[in-house]
Amino acid sequence: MRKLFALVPVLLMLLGMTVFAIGAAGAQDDQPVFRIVSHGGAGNPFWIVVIKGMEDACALLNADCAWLAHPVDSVDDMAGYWDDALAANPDGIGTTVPNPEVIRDAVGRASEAGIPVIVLNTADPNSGTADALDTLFYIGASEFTGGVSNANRVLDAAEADGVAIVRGVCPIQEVGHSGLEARCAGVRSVFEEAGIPLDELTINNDTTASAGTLADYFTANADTNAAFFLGPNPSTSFNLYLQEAGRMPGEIYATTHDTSSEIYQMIKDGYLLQAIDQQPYLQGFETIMWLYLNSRYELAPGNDIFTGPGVIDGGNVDAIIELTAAGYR
Amino acid sequence: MLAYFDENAGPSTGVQLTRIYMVLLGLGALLVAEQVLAGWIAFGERVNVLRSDINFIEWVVIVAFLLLALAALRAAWSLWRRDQAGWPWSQWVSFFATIIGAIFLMKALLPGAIAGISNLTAPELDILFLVIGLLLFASGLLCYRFVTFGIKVFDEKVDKAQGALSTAVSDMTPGQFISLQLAQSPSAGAIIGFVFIFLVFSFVTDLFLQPTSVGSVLTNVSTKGIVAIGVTILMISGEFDLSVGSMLGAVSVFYMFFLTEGIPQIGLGAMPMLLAMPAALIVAMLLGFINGIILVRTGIPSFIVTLGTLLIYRTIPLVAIPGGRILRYRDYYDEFPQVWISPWVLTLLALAGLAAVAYVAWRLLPGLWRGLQFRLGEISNAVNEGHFKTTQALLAGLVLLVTALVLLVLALWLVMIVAFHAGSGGELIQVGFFDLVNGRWGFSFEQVTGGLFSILIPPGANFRNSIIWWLLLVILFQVVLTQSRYGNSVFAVGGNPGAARAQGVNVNRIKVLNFMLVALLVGVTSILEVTRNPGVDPLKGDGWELEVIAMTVIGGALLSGGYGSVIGTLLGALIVGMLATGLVIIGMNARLFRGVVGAITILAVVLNTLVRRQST
Repeated sequence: MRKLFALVPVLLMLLGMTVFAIGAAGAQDDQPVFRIVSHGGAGNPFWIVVIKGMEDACALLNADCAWLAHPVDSVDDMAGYWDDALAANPDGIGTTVPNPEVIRDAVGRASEAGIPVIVLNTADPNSGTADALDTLFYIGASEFTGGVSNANRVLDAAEADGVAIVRGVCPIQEVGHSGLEARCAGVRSVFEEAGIPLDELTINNDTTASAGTLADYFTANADTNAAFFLGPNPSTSFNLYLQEAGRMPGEIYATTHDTSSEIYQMIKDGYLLQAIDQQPYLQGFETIMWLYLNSRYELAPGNDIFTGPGVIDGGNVDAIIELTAAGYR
Repeated sequence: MLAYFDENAGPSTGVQLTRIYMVLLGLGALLVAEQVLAGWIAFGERVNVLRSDINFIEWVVIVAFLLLALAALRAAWSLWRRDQAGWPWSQWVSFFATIIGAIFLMKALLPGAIAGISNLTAPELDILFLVIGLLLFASGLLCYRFVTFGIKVFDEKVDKAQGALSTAVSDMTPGQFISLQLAQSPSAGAIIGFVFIFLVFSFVTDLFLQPTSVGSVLTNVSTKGIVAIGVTILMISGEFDLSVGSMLGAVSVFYMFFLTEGIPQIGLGAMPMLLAMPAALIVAMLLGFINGIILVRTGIPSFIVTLGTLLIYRTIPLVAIPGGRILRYRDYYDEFPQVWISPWVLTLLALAGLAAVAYVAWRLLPGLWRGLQFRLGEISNAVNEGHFKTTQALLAGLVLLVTALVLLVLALWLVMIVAFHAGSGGELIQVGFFDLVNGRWGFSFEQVTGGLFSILIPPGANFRNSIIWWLLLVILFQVVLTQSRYGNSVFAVGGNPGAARAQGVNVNRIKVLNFMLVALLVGVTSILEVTRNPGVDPLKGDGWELEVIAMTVIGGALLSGGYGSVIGTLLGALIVGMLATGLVIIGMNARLFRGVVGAITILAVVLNTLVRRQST
């Protein structure tokens, strides 16, 4: 409960702002309607936190909100969910953009209808070019910067130990996912500069099967001593691999993205140097808040809003564990 | 050639060439064996740069070439003596020479070819292997064509002219013999695919035969292999289960809840671990029963029924796991559950095992011994009739020896366990429960097995108990499917439901039971998976159905039912497992991985179909 109370002032402030805003607007009685379309949903631990952010914001605004996504993971289904979102005639739509072509047509219809669209979590890969979707701005982590941060952390830690990184590996659990590829690309940019080879490895979200794949990889590449994991399930398989191969902390300099209780444990045990947290709660919460502000008052920030990379390592992991239990991290 | 054997013609040029070829082949094979023994021709990975140590693969090569040399010289000897046996001997020798040549060619050419699409550095082309391979392959093929040419004509001639002698000399050519053997098996494609893929990976990388890789293949494929057994039997009975992956997720979640917090909503508390296991199995069978009952009550195709339950069952873990996180056993308890076993129980179990070994020995060995005596008798009885009597006697002796040795080793191990525990003074042994179910060999349950595995298994190699469960279940269900009345009904139901019904088989009952069998095996797999990595995430098992069906189909089962085998599925599972591990070891480009698996699946099934078509 204590950590809940810590949030009370923030929530009160936001509530106050909202009440004030509603009052100033002349007490509109129509309930605001927002929709968020995503490529993943309640089946994935990560999205649960984003959805909680959305729900908390909507409760504050007394808005009618819905999370429209395949419960597990589907980029192609997003076109259909976009149609559903437009059918609700909402005041604003948030969307992830793992593949802009799937939703280009629907986003076009939204902009014709004057519905503001904010991109969250996964940025439009064409953003800044002529091919960019007609959206307001992006709320989320810079996946690339996260990868860069992880790579630098590994190189620094190895240097501090007097160890040379010989070869790195970046296991991707969903090959072709632009966000995950960007995380690897961030690592690659640092490694290329340092002249260290970086392997790609296809794994999947099945923890035991992926542990086997990792074992095979390390059998073939015994000299690899840096590994960059891209999510909770891959980290769990890494942990399983470490147990099964009997490897010690510090043998492989490893980092991950996102969070889970196992990741915290691995950070405490010294198996992971750090985890990049994109603070998913903010992505859900702020998207709704900005959609509200934009649809009512045409307000928009001057630039994209980065919710990460936030770094979790041995220094702050205990505080983070408490907040995770409450569902905010 | 047949004129030569009819003793009414002198040796033709062809016969003379064959004689010379056999002598040369024999001497050449002796030379190769000697060279390998001396360390000039290297196979596999060597510990010692000086090449004074000979590894397992090289011993295999040495023995193979010595046998080839003996056989070739034997053939030449018979040809010289105008002995009927010379013919089949030269057929088989040239046949094996061709195959060995092809294997050498693969060894020479494959690594370079594979390096093009993987991370491996292309090795220098091995000229020695290329030359030996090319020579053996070309000459063997040529000789084989010559000595098998017109074999049918010869058969008819002998039938007419010599009557009784016909059975002996009208042996099939090696090619005919092997394709007949393959066509009789439901899993021809799987056998060929297994041998081929095994050879390819062994040649391309030395790492493939290392214990770590073998352990990885077996451990990671064992759980999927268990599910595949059930799916095969279901497919033979003409039905299809897409829901296994979702069922795995659901049952794993139930098992996890039974172990930890129970299900408070229905007033069910946490269960003792020995009770949680059967409870999870019951839940699994219930899910399978639902699949089956929907099928037989509504008559909807099973593809659609289980597509529905695939989606429905997946909601169970999605809804049940609080916050959708990864549910871990460690989040509830700091320590994994322990069991205490009395050494006397283990001693009794080992004694029971000894009794079983003795029983098997009593049933098997006398028969094999009689077989050997029969073969030995044939050698002295049949002077001119047989061609392979000596070889068959040797084979019978070898089978007897290996069987006896395996039984002896098992017995010794069991005696060792008895001795180990008898000396312990009756103190209870504490073992991790998860380790007992699916622990790692050599690390987790040494106190139970008397310390055998730690001798055999190098650290870092991941062999788990699930491999044993898998193989036991394969044997069990192979026997059930081929020897029992239930197995007969399964084939009948899938092959021709109308006829099965006419013979009094309750088709619906068999189908529902098969769905429950699949579910039961999924339940076993859930327990093994949860005990390997004590945690469940809501996506556990997602996508398993496709991999498992691929194993079953590669193993030779027909989607239309009535045809298939559990052994074939074992091979299918091993093929998928070898691919998964092998492709990673050779560093296959991550983006090509799925495409390769898909292509090989189609190839294996096409091969199955081709062989089957040839047989009918």
